[in-house]
Amino acid sequence: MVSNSSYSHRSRLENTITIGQRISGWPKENTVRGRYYLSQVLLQQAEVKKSLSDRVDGLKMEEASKQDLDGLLKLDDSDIATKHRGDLPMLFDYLVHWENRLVTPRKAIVPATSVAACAIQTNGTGVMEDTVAALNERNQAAFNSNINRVLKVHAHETDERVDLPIESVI
Amino acid sequence: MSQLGQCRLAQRDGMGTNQRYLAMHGSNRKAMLIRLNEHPEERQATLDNVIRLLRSQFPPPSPLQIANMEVWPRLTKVLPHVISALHAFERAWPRMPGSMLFAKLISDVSGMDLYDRGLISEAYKLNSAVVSMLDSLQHPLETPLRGDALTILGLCTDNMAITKRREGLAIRRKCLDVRQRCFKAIPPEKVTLDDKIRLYNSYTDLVCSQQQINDFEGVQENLALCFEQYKIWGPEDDITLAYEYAKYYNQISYVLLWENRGDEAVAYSDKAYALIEKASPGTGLSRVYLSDYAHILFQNGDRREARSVLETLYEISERECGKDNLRTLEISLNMAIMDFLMGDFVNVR
Repeated sequence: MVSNSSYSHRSRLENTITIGQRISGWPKENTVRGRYYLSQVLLQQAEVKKSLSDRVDGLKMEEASKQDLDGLLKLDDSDIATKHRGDLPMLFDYLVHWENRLVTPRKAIVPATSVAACAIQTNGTGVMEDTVAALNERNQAAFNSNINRVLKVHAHETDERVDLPIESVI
Repeated sequence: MSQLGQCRLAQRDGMGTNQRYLAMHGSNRKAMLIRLNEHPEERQATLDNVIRLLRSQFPPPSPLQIANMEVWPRLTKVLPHVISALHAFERAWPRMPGSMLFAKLISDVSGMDLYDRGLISEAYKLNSAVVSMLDSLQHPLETPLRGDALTILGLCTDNMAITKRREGLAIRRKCLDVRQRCFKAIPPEKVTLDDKIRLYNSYTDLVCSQQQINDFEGVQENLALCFEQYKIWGPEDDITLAYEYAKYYNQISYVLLWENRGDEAVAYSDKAYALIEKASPGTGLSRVYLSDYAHILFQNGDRREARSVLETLYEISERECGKDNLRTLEISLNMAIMDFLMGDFVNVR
């Protein structure tokens, strides 16, 4: 049985997209992003209901949104498309206003060991040592914050099974 | 007019009330405008009258472009007339020269208060007309009004998403140049805090374009520049500066998120909302900051709380701006996406 909430996601998405397209100022990027998520809802429903028609509709919609995504990303000068290739939630969010995004990229964390190695190499130059120590401290703080978030997410998962895109965690 | 009245082509209504108006068919209005084209002097005098009347109904809003919810009823009243006057002006043949008074009226009406309510395409069209009018009047680049119009245009491009992102960045760079020129044109002894705020506003606007392209290092650099200034100007609990500090805390919270400092990002975003509510209570921008807070909370793992904040926001936006408003719909879309990402599907399976 499909839960009522799956229908409410679907109908909310469908209604919002339909109304949005009618109003002035609604960017087509919002529609493209909305349709991608709608396709994912359809595919999830298809899996649960074993419905071939939902699966076909979902796949068609997903393909169309990916094509729109590719087309729209061509308007961009940055390397986002190659840097985050395959991370669809990140890329679809990139299309829209930054304040509407739900996925923000995260800075790569330099492993503490490589920073320590750097400290040994620069031993003897006081200024560099200070910089490295500060870097180390910052990275440790970032690492702790990250671990806390991962733990929080996992704690969350135990009662409601959150399905997080990996990039939003790391 | 009396002839039109006698022929029942125009009708005065609402007499004896403070809501008097003249009703006539659109085709009659068009016919009158075409006829006015044959009498350029009379046509100019008529437009000047329209500008004078509308100006009397809409005093200039905040010179610092801070939205004020109390302006909204007045704005709702004059907006259709300003749009209509601009259409008539643009369709006039032979062309009309435009005027600084008209440009200022359009800019005031299509300023931060219009943008704040999510009327993005209207704000974009009207501000583009202001820039064109200033160009056609050959006003120098360092005209403050040009900076105001470019600021709103830049904000509009943010909402127009990736399609207008390149244009948005170009507008903001131009705006920064204009504001720098305006600032330099003021004798040092006459520089006020407002002048400084307007200049640094163009840096925080440029930051919006950097946020769009995930240039967090650039964001950090420009925000640090602004933050140093704010601290010189005064503390964040100073009501005249709360708006500036709010922008700083709101924008830097996304940098903190990028730096994997999620808890600090949430705290800064919360602070930004408290400050904007103090500086510009009940406005659309204040709701946007609350929505930002929900988005950051969501990305930091407090998903249920984030969803609940967004739901409250949706109810407020629906009540105040309507169901078909851009901002209401964008909240609705994100609620649905949050629902999907929080997914009941796993349990279902």
